[in-house]
Amino acid sequence: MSKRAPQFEDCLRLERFTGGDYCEKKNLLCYASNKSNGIILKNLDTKETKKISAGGKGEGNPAFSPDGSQILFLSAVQGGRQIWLYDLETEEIRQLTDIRGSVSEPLWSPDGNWILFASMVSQKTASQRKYEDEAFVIEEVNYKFDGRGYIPPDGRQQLYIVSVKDGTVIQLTDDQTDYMHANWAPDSERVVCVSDRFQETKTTMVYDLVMIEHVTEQPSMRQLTKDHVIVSYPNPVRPVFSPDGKSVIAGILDMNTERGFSIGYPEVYLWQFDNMTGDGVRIFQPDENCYQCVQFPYNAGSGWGLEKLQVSDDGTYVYFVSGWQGQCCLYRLRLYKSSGNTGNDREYIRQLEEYYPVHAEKVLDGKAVHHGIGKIQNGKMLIPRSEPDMPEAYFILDTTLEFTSTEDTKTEVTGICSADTFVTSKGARMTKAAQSAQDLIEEVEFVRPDDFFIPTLDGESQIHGWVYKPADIAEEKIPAFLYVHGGPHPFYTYGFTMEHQCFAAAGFGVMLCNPRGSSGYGALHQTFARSTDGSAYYDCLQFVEECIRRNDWIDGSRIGVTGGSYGGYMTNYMATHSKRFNAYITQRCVSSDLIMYASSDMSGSSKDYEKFEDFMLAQLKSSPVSYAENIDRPFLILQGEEDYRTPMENAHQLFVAIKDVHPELPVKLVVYPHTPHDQPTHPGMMMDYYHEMVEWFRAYL
Amino acid sequence: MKRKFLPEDIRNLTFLSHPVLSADAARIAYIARKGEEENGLFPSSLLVLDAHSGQTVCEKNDVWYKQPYFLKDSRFLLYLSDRSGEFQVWLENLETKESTQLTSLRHGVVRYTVNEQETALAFEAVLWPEEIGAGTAFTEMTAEEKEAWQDEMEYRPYKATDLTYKMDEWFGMRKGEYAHIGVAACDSKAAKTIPEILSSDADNQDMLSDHAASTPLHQYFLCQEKAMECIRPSWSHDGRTIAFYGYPHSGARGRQAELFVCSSDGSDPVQLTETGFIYPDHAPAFTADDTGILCVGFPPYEDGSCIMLPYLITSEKTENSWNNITIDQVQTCLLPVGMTENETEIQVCHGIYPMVAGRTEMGENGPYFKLSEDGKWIYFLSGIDGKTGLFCSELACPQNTRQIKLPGTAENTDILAFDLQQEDSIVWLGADSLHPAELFYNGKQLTHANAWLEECSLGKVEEFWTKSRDGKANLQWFLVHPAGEFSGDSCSSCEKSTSEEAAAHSGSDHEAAVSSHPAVLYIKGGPETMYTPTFWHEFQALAGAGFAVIYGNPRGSVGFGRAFNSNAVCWMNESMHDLLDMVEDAISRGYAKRGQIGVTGGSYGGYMTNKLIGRTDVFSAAVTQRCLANPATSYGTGDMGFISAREIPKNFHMLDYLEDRAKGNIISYIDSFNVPLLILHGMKDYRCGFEQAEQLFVAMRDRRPEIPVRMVAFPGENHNVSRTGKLYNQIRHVKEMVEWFQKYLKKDGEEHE
Repeated sequence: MSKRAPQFEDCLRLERFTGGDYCEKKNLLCYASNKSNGIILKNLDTKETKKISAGGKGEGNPAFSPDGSQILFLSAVQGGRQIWLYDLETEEIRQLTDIRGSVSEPLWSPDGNWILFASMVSQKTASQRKYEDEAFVIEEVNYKFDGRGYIPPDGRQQLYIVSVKDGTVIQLTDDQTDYMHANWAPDSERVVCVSDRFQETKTTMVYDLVMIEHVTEQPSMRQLTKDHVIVSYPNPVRPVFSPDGKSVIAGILDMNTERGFSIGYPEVYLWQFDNMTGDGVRIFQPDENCYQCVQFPYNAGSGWGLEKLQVSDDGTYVYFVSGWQGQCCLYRLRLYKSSGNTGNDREYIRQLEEYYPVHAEKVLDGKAVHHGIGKIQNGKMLIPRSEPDMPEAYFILDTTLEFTSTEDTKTEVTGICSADTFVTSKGARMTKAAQSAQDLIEEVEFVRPDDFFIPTLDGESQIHGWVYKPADIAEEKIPAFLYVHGGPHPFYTYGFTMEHQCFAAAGFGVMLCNPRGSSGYGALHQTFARSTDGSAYYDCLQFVEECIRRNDWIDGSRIGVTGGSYGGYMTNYMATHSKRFNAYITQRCVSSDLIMYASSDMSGSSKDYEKFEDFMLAQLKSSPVSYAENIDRPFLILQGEEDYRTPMENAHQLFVAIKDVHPELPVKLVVYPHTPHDQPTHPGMMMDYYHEMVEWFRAYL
Repeated sequence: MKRKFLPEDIRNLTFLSHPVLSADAARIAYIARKGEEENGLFPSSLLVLDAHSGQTVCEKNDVWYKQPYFLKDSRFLLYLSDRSGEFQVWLENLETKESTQLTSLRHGVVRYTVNEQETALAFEAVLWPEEIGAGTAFTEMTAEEKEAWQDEMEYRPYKATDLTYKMDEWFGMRKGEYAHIGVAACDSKAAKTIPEILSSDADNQDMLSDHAASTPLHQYFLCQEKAMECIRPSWSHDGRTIAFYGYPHSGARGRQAELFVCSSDGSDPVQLTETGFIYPDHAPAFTADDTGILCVGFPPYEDGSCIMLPYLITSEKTENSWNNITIDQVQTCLLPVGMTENETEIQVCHGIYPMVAGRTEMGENGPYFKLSEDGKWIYFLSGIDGKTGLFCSELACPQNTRQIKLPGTAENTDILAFDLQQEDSIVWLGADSLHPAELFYNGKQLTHANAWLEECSLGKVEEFWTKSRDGKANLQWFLVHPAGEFSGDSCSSCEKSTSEEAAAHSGSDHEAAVSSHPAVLYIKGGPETMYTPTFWHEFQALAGAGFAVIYGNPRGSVGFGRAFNSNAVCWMNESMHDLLDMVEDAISRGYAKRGQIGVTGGSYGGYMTNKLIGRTDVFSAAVTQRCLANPATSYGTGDMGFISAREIPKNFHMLDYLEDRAKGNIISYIDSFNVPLLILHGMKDYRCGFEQAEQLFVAMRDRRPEIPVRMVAFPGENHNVSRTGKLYNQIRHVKEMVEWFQKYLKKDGEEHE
């Protein structure tokens, strides 16, 4: 039987994995998805599955205890999510925590006696807020955050440990600072985390490594690093201890390559820090093959709930993921093996300095997305993978086979996900352990987009992009639209994207590209200034013309443009600067840099201006809304009411400005309640959102 | 010794509103509201008094009550009550205590009015148009249905395709709903008039089974042909015509109301005006012979001056039909207010109902104008020179306008609301500088709702006048003295002078004592409003904390003639200088001392606060409330101010427009903001959007990191946070302000923090 084309209602059915864990000792997989209503425990030898559930909502974050005897998971049976334990032998479940608020990011201690977790409601200080609608006192600029909303004084993320034996909870941190990305030391006595506790001014950007010691007895905290900016938002990496417990490996923003955030988003390199002195060494040497140690895929469609950095259990390698030309690849670095007890700290650092930095070797690549790494056990690990026409699957990667780190190959391997097992170009074996959205895969025909590279007009770089062609084309030529990604730092990938599949099936060509400003194409390409100085704009225009030239089924006189966040900014920029397009849909956009300055959670700075008024005038000049009189094609504005990244005021001012000077032009504003800087996830509103988009392009293209 | 008045005392205040007098002048009904600790709401209860004895006839507070209305037979009272879940019109026999529900609108009734025949009532109700189509408009939802509906509505997107899509009053955007008007009429088979319904028997009730089960009236909507918001229906005396306001315009004029009429069955709707200046806050009123309709408006004077005037729209009426009249046929202004040579400005009052800023009040009132029964006179609330009162004007001869001397009132009595049958039977809500509104009938005080205030020592209010520095205006300002106990031994005269009439203090007696107190300049919003010497709990909270409060009417205020509030002086330097002149006058009289003066204000007052601290060094601490801070970002984010309200110039560039709004204005002076600044703002404020507060706060942290700045954001509250917000938010709002000044305004002998 032939498969049907996807439709937007399928978005509601789409299963997404939310996290999983692999137990190498017993060859067991446990995982959860938005549709699983519990934890799925799968025996990879027998393929037998079993569901574990406490009967609550939002069940997920499953993890095997270090000895493989228990599984922890979160479940919201009453109120917030709590930690539950499942005993693999007795098959009994029990609730471990019962805290106010909700548990997140649970992590087993290496000795299996404790579980580290985070929560945003302090257990120590009694809630100062009596009413939900009672006033917020704001004295620092980091008072709100997209997705979290306005943060009450006792609403910062704090760290806790809970005893597996008797449920005793110890609160490790307790103040008005967030403590994030915490991880255990091998001795199960120390925890490292990321915080701005020791920063004088809170910026939501500059964080230190903070060490908490004697966690099971008398927790004490100290600032570990002082002069490094630990990567957090938007592509956080949980720091890891080296197995000898001497050092911590963390992702550091390289502030030397560019002058801070106002100019560009710096690359992230791995550093290794002496856990006593906080002295550090950059261990990663960028090269063409791998130029930074994180990736920011815009449409990964996979990897939720999985770590982005792991150290192998024998301490030989550190594994990380990094983007390259739309691929999301797995890399590893060979770590320095300390030659026994060095005696003094200075000597240890000296040895590190002598050995590092080293180049990374590629472990996994291909026209696919690998956006997470499971715990590494005897050379095996859980790896998520998705492809343009194939939703996420969990694989077990076995690197113990003859792993040959030879020449980098760009061998294209397609349709690999459908294979249960394959050998990578490096000789490692990937074995599929679980496939998400199996029901849709069997029912629906997903298309595979074409992708190509073209050199930019200025010769500085190249533009990489994708074109989705509908499976059935009703007319000789059909309309198409350019979909600009957000950021501009993220990049479009080879990941599975339901939305793009549905728009194509609705009868539109969908054009995606990674213009200047996108990461994953080298430092020069991702220069932030290029995303607003017109380079990215011309990259987009050039890409559209090339798509039309290459695809005779696209009607070049019926081209739209849309995008979210930076993509919304770019849509606004196109509408105010170009006559190329016939209809616009701007999503969660930036329309005024002056509004962004004060009302975004990433509030700006006027430090480069002596007079504030000059700063204001400069912001107005660079704002698309200031050119609203140029907009002369139907314009739809979609916005989340609780968006604190590109706040709603952008949408309001843009709508009023266009409608005010063009009373006859079709202009529409749709605001989605309870929706942060994203498309709505509420089923009814999600359908309304896509309906608005499709109808707008149908009406005006 | 008396205790201080505290911000927390807002919870003790009882707010009276909506007094009505029965036709036989025998009974008075009114509404009382008081804050509730649990949910912060202000439940609204109904009281009925015997007009002569003052005895309580009836008190109802089991659910919420609003809008009392006596039928001709004063045993029968109509009101809105949410007993059934939504606010519906109910009829009650005050003697038998029998009551019955008259309407059953799905989301309740906003307001209603009864025809003279007492056979029908016209209502205004907010509905989603699809509910009318689905036939569910006259059935209230069950509790379960409503919960499900609310859940669904919670996740319904807001959609807008035209300019006037959001309003502060709506807390932002709507989700498709708007106000409709309709009629609920007696079915002659059951009962001929509304009061008969109570005595009609069960057989008659059965005959009404085709109507919604919960009401014995036949309900239907008017003017559904056009999807247009319609509000404030009003009956002609013959009961055959209904006048109402509609919103027929699009674009920048979307919220400009026009006067319409239709037959009481909804047929033949006609738009009567095309003025764009009608102020639809009070229902239109037919003249005695039904040949004219009275409504109020703000005429669009070129100079931008702001005065609310009564207009008579008349028709060459034939055969009782309004159908043949053309738009703008006849409009007569009923008060002469001209500024041209051949027009004289009336000196008795400033238009109709100059909006009073800064007084303790909450709740709806009846109309602020009423026609006499013979139709010859219009009675209305108005004011002049910072005082309010009841006035009347002869329709045929508007020059004949006079203030009505209400028995037992002093010159400074503030009249908040009134109702009358004849000039000798008038009921009103009256307040003065030391007493919030109480109910009076012909000079007799009938309520003592806020008698508890006797236990508090209050700040007395004194009036001053000074000449503006440009010599063009006389400026009225008031001083609230610090509350008695703070004056201590050296100010014993304050304690002695308890009578209202003796409120005037002589400056020299107090100079030494009072000037040891820090002072706060409190600037009102608007600016088209008027401060009066009336009770306002915010002043008293400051006085109770030991501050003198300076408040006055700078240019831009109403009540002082048209030239006084032309646009030319509101937003330029004149009004700012006027405020400084008042402060100078206070200093020279010894009531304030340099280095010990704070400044605060809300809305326009917040704008002016920001302006003053950026450009002067007179003030030492500031609290800016729901302020305008950056006009370049307030464009399009607030609910007002469209470019297309005027003709858009050729070669218009948005950049030029926004640059003009950014230059030399308020926040552009941020580098000279040198005093500790507290920012208070509602997070659902759509007049001066919350982003205005963020502009100010982030710019202060960015540019002036060494200056203390604190922002207190009130979730769920709009531009009225300190007026109609949740009880705990209102208290917090005032408390934050008082504590900021306590922290940062130096007292004599204290070191500055």
